[in-house]
Amino acid sequence: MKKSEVLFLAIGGLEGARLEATEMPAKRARPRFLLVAAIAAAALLLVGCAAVAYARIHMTYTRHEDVTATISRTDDAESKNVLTDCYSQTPCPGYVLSGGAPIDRTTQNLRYWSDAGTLISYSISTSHAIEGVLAPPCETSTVTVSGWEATLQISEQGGAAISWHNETEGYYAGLFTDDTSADLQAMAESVGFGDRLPLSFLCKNGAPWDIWYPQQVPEGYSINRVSAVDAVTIDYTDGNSSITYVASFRNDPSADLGEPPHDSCTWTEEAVNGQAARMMTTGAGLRLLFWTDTREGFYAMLSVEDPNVDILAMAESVAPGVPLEIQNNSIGPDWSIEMQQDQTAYSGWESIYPQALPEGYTLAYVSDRAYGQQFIRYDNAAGDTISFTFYFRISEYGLDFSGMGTPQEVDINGNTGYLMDHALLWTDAAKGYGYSLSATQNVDLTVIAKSVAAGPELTSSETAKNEQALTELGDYNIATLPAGMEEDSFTGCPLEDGGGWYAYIRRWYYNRQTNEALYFTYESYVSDSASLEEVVQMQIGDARFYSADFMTINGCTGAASQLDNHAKVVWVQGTPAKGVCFQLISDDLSVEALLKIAESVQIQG
Amino acid sequence: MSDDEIIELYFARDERALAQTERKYGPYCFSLANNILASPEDAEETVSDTYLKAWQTIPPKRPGVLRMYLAKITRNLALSRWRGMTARKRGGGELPLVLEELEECIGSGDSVSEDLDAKELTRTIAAFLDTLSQREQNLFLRRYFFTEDAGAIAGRYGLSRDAVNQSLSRTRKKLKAHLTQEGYAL
Repeated sequence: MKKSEVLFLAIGGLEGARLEATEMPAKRARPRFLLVAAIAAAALLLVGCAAVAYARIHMTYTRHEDVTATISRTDDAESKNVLTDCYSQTPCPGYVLSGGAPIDRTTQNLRYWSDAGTLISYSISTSHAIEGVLAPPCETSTVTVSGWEATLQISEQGGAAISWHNETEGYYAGLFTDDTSADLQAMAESVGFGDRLPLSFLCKNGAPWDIWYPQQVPEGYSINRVSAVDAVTIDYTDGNSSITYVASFRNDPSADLGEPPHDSCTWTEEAVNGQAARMMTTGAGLRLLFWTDTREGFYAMLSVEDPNVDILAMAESVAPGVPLEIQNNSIGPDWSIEMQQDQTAYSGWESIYPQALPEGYTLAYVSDRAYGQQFIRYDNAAGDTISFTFYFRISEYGLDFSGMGTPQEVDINGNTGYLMDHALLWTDAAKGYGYSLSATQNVDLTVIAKSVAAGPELTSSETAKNEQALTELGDYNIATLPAGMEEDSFTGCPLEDGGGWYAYIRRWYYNRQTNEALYFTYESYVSDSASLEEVVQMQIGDARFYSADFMTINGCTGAASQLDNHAKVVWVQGTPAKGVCFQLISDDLSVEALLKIAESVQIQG
Repeated sequence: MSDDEIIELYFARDERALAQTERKYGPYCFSLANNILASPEDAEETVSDTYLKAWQTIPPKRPGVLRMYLAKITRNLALSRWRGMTARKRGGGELPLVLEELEECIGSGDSVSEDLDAKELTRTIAAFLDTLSQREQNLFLRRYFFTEDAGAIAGRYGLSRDAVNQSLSRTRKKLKAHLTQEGYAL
C-alpha cells in the first residue's frame, strides 16, 4: 500500500467528534450534544464456561453473565446491584426519569428528560470507564464527586459531561447533557443507592410505568418481543404477519412518517374510545393507526399487515394488563457454543442422516454436500419441518452457535449434546462429525438424534441445477488426482441463478489416509480488465499479499501463488471481458503439485 | 428518528435499523463514496456494503456519532473498491488528487506494516491537528477525510477557492514537518 493511502486511512481513524465539528454550519441554531457515551466494546464476562474436548471434534459451551448478577462489591452484596440500584437520587431541577435500558451486560443507561426537550443521560458500568466526547473545543477540569476524582468537560459548542470511578462500590459512571444550565456535578453527587429499578423500563411521571397495551389480540397472534427505549414497542406475530404496537409519553410516532407519496397511501379519520384518531393505509395494504390515549396521556400507534385484523377493536382494548417483561435483546445472547474440528483428523463425507422420524414426516430436500456440510429437510402434511445439518469438515474458523435461555445438556449415544427450544446440537467424537437438528413443532429431537446413522445415499435436490451448470460451463475433471484422493463434495450454480452471467462448479477432494484436501472450482466471469493477466491477478488475490508467477497453464494464461502453506493455481479461458476462470487451491499440496494436477484437467464427453 | 433510536434498533437486531439508516444517511454516504469513486454505480454498491458493515459491527460497537461512523465505513470501503478498480476506471474522482497531495506530506513509497502505521499515524495526526486553528482543521478534514474539492469547501465556509488551496498547502507543509519530526521518514 502506498504511504499516501496509509495516511489517508489514518486520517479516517480520527475521532468522530472532530470530524463532526467540520460539518457544523456557520450559523448554528442550537449547539448539539455530540456523544452520549463512548464505551469500549463489551468484553463479555463469563460466569460459566464448560468445555468438552474430544480427539477429533469438540464443542465449547459458554454461558454469558446475567446482567442482574452484577452486584456491588460492598459487604451488603446480597441486596445491592449497582446497575439497578445506584442512580441519581436528586436529578437536576426540571428533569424526571423517563426510562432505562442496559447497553451491555455490565452497563446500564438511564434517561432523564426535561419538559423543554433536553436530555440528561446517565450511564453506570461495572467494567468500563464512561467517557464523554464533546464537540471541540472543550474545557476540561478535575472536580470531585462523593470524594472521588471526576472529569468535567464543557464544550464551547454546548454540552457537558462528567465521569468518575467509585472504587468502593466498584462502578464507573457518567452524566451527559446538551443543557449547559444543568448542574451535572450536583446531580453526580446525588448518585447513590435507592429503590431497585427494572433493567428495561419506561416511566410515567418519573416512576416505572405499568404498560398499557392491547388486551384484545387477534386469534393466532402472540407477543414476539417487548422493548423499551423512550417508547414501549410490542411486536406480535402469527408466524406470517406482524402487528406492532408503540406507546410513548414523549414522542408522537406519526411524526416519524415524514412525507409519504400521496398516491401510495390514504388517510382516514377514525375514533378510538371516542377520541380522534388517524389511519394511514398504504398501497400495499399496511395500516397505521395513530391516536392519543387521553386517559393515561400517551401517544399510541398500531401497525397491522393482516387485512383481517380489526385494528380499531385492538386499539380500543388498550388498558393495563398483566405486567410485561421487557426483553434485553440488545445485550447479546445468553450462551454460545463453538464447534471445532481437529484439522489434522478431518473426516470424509459419509451418507449419514436420521433413520427414525416422527410419524408423518418425509424427505423434502437434500442439499449438495459442499463446504464441509450437508443439509436435509423433512416436512409433514401440515407444513411442519425438521431440519438436519451434518458437519463433516469444519473450517479452521469453526462454527459458532448462540441463543437465549439455557440449553439442556443431553446424552446422544454417549456424546454430549445441547438441547434448546426446538434445536439440538451434538457431536460424534469417534468420527469427528458435528450435527444440528431443529424442528418447527414439538418433537423429541433426542430420539431423532440417536437414530442418526449411515443409510443409503440420498440424491441431491440440486441435481438438475448442477447438470445445467455443467452443460453451461463444461464438465471439467481432474484426470490425474494424487493417489488416495477422492471427490467427496460437489456443487454448482447455473447462469439462471447467477443473474444470467455467473455460473460455477465447485469440487472438493479429500484423502482419508493423509488428510490432504484439494479444492477445484471454475466459474464464469465478466470484467473490465485490460488483459488476461489482470483477470488472473484478480483471481489470485491482492497483489500486495499474493505475488503471482505468470505462466501458461493448460494452454491458457495463468499464474501460481504460494503464501505460507496456501497454494493456488489459476488459469483463464476467454477474453479479458468474459470467460471461465479455473482455480485449484490447497493448504496441503504444493504449487508444483497443483500445477501438475492443473495440466490434467480436461473436459468430459 | 434520532440516531440513538436507530442505534437501539441495531442493538435489538431489528432490520428497520437498515431502512432508517438508508433514509437518514443514504444520500450522505452516497455523496461521500461518489466523491472518492466518481462512479455512481460503484458508489451505490459501496453504500450498500456500508449498511451491511454497520449491521455486522453494531453491536458490539455503539457509535457516538452515527453519521461519522457510517462515513468512516463508507470511506474505507470506497478506498478498498477504488484500489480494486482497474487503472482505466480510476481516472475520475477526487481521490487520486487527494492521494497525490498527501504524498507531499509522507512521500510516495510503499508502506510495510500498514495497520500499525495507520493507528500510530492517527494519533500523530490528531496531535498535529490540535496545533491548528479550528478553520485550518476544518479545511484539512473536508479535503482529506471527506475528499471534497476546493470549490465545495470554499462554498461551505464562505471562502475563495484560492484561500482554501493556500490554507491546504500551508497545512500540508506543516504536516510534512510534523511527520518528519515524529520519525516518519520521507
